[in-house]
Amino acid sequence: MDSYRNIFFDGLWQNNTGLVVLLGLCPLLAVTHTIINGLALGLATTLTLVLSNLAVSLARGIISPEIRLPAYVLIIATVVSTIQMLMQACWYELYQVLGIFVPLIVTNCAIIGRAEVFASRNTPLPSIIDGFATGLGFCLSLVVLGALRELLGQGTLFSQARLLFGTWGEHLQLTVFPHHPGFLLALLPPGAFIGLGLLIAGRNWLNQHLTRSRSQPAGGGPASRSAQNAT
Amino acid sequence: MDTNKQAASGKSLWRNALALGVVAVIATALLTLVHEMTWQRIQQQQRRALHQQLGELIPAHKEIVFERTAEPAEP
Repeated sequence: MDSYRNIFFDGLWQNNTGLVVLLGLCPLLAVTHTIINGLALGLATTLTLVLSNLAVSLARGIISPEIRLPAYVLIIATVVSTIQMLMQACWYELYQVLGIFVPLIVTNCAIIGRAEVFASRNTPLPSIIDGFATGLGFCLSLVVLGALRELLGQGTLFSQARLLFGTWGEHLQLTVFPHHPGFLLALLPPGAFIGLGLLIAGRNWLNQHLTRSRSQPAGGGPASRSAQNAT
Repeated sequence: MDTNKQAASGKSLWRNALALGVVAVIATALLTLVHEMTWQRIQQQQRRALHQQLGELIPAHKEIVFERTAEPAEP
């Protein structure tokens, strides 16, 4: 159970694909104009990671090291094509908004990386958990960056939610700044780079803060800290 | 010794080709199944999007009604 927790925490936070390993930056920067765009692509990537990890883990007995790369690419391309067709059938407008970045999930290095490093050496259940955690971490970074850019650029949150959630998604849209004049830089690629930099800095700061608070002894209040300084 | 090595290498080659072939066949079968399940819906969605675009170009109050006229009498 502890190992599953470690796998989950590792994929979600410790080795976050978007903020630590810095893989899959192209969709991360290009698609995150809004939360909904980021969420949709993040969910598609998560599903791809889970299914491809499962397939690679199941097929690891018959795939020899010489043919592993073409086999993994074939599996990932199949999963992505399936998701693409399902998106076209059920969320056509959203599929059009995301455009080329849905088929380009195949080229996301994080997916083939997890297949090679983790799924090919582990049983199906840990592989599924790893895929889910890695995808969730990537999805989280897409959503947070999307929220930041949408809020600064348009003054709204969850705009165009109907593309993903249907008619009830119209009620989700929040206008945070009613008379927002619009901040174009946040919506353009430089804004995405600046936003990503801020997110990485924020994640590093939070991580350091958590590590420091964990390393302190229990009940380490100001008195014990001054005692430590004195020694 | 060389003959044994060559035989092992040939066997491994065939085994790899077979494994890759099996993966390819399963992938193709899965894609065919999903395509069969979704192609009608995708066409429907594409047609709806096209209608929406046409509706934006030609608004409802400018609807053009095509009336069938009487065929000209033959001389």
